[in-house]
Amino acid sequence: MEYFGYAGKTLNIDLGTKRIWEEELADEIIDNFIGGLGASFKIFYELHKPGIDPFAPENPLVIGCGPFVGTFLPGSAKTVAITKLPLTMTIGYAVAGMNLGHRLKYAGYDGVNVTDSSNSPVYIKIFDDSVEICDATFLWGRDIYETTNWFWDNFGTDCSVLAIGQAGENRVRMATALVDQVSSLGKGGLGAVMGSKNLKAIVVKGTKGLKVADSKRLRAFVDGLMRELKKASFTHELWEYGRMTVWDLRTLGFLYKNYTELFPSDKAKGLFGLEVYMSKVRKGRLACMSCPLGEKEVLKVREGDFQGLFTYISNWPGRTRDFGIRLALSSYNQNAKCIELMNRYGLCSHTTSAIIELAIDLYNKGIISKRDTNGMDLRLGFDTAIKLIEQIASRQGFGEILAEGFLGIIKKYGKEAEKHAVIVKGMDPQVDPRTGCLGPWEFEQIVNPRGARLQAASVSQVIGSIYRSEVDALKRFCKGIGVSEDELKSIFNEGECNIGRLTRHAEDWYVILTSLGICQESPTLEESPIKKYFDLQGIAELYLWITGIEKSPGQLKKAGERGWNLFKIMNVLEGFDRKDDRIPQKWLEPLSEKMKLKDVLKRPLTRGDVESMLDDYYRERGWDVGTGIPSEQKCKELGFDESLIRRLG
Amino acid sequence: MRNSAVSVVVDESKCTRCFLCQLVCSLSLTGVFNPCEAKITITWNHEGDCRINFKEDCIDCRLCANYCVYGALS
Repeated sequence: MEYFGYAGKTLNIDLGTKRIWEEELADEIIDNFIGGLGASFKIFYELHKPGIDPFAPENPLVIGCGPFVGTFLPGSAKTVAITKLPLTMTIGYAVAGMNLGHRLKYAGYDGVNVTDSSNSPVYIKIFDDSVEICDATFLWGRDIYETTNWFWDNFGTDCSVLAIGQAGENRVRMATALVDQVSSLGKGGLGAVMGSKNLKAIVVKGTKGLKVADSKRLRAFVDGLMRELKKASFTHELWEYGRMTVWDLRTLGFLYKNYTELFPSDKAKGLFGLEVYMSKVRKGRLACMSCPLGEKEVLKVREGDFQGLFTYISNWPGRTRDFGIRLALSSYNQNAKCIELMNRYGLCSHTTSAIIELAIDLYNKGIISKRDTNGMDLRLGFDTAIKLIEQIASRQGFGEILAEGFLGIIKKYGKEAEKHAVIVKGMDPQVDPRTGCLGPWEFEQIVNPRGARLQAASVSQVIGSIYRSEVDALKRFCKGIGVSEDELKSIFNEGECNIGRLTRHAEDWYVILTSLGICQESPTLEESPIKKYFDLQGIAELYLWITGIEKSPGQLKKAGERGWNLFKIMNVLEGFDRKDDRIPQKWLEPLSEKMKLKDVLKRPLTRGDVESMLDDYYRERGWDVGTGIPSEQKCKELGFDESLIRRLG
Repeated sequence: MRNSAVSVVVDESKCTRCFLCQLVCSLSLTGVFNPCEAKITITWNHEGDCRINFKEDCIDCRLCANYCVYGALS
């Protein structure tokens, strides 16, 4: 059978028996789950046994990319991975960019399913049909840059490398894996799962290429997009300054210390802002494959401490929030050093910095003592940060405790520690809603089955409108992503927008985009001149041109909903329900006199209001309001089989 | 050694490795997205410095330059 857009095959690799075999991508998966994220949920569901330890050999690692990946449609480079996460014990997904998905498609695969564990370090080499499990003993102990460079030196830079560093090898619960030294795949400890399997890296090279069904129409469409991009002022700013174009927006939501204090924005700007960044540290730009709006960058420290330090970065404002602000660093040089170490060791910078911040807070409150830290004095600033990063990555000294993540810290230090940890399901949130409002992004952090994650409420297209309380823009967005007239009536009422109900549809939209492989960052950002093409009708046309398969907007919307429900169901089978969709207590306390938890119309919110938002979210999803679990009726409506419904009880 | 018959002006410091040049080149020449069939090559070293070259049989159609939004090819 000839495929367009899809490679048509998945690769199965059993690291225990060393068996390698291919399977055709089932029509049922394409029909019901599209590809990428949705398909990977379905494949993981079939492979996974609920209740197992994330480090057990039985925990599968499912990697996939959608039918748009491999083409030149702007921003179509998303690769997803699903596994049971050691940080949270939830079933979680990770999404990364760079070249992995494209190379995998050119090798002839839509995904790779890794099962069982190897009894010695290995890497997986996928060069077209030649797939091997190779000895990686000589790479064990090397950091991600050294490992990836070894592959590029030996196989050429036209291969893509997914690799872990020492943190993953040591099963640190916030270890990540990096694609091509830049793009993180695995907040929540996916890198540690690879480490537990003795899997150092996956290296992929493909020469087969990818066919699309109607290359003429696709080419004409992308030609038009490129012309629009070149004309728009937003793109010129983005090309010049990268992610720093959104420094102000980011700082709006990210400037806090320890969830109790604001960091002065003028101080942040002076230490880490645009002028310093451009003149002292940025060397060049980097983009994921096919992206004309690339926002990743190359750093090189030009003077002072760590002069000559080189590293890649995906988001300077975000990493500044993680280290510069959170840990009160005193220079951009120190910030760059922390970023470099995160990349080399393979640590998630969000979670690692949040854990160090929590440890310092607990130390200041007397909950952690010098006996715990082996005599180390924990203070905000670079010295403590750097020592703890080293100790965490190597699980040495006090790092052994912190490497167990928030849940490990709470287990050791009890209720007092739990009171001060700002987490949802064992994961740190990215944005504090008190600095803006409890919009869909912020609310998503409470309901995401993986643990706190905001991107899945895929509202990048209207995020500014939300902060500006522009209800009409939200309505237009909802119409564009396939929300029905009846649903619109329940979301928008008398000039108000129901965030609980809106969030459900934003999540479904996210599943559609990520199942196809489209990035929900730059190309679809509110300011992007091409975001208007990324609505459900436009996506349905692109899907036809790329795959040759006709799917109605309604079918795509349903596939998005189906994918999210299966994701939720897998986590229900792990024991999670409404009690876990819990707002962190600190968010209900004021951050400052003016910064209290508010809704999008800037009215104060109580715990009861947030519970009502949860009720609305579950109702809009067709889930049981009391338990937050998908109802039997919803499961039947989505076409789930009887065995799944029985498992849900 | 860069192919001197090609009229595209190259600024390697601006290359972001988006590979849009290779993608459109391969699609145009073969009807398939396949960077290894493209007539332009991109490599980089351990410090992220890119090297861009054109193969001998590049037809100098300049499509790659039209698709390069970052200013590496013009």
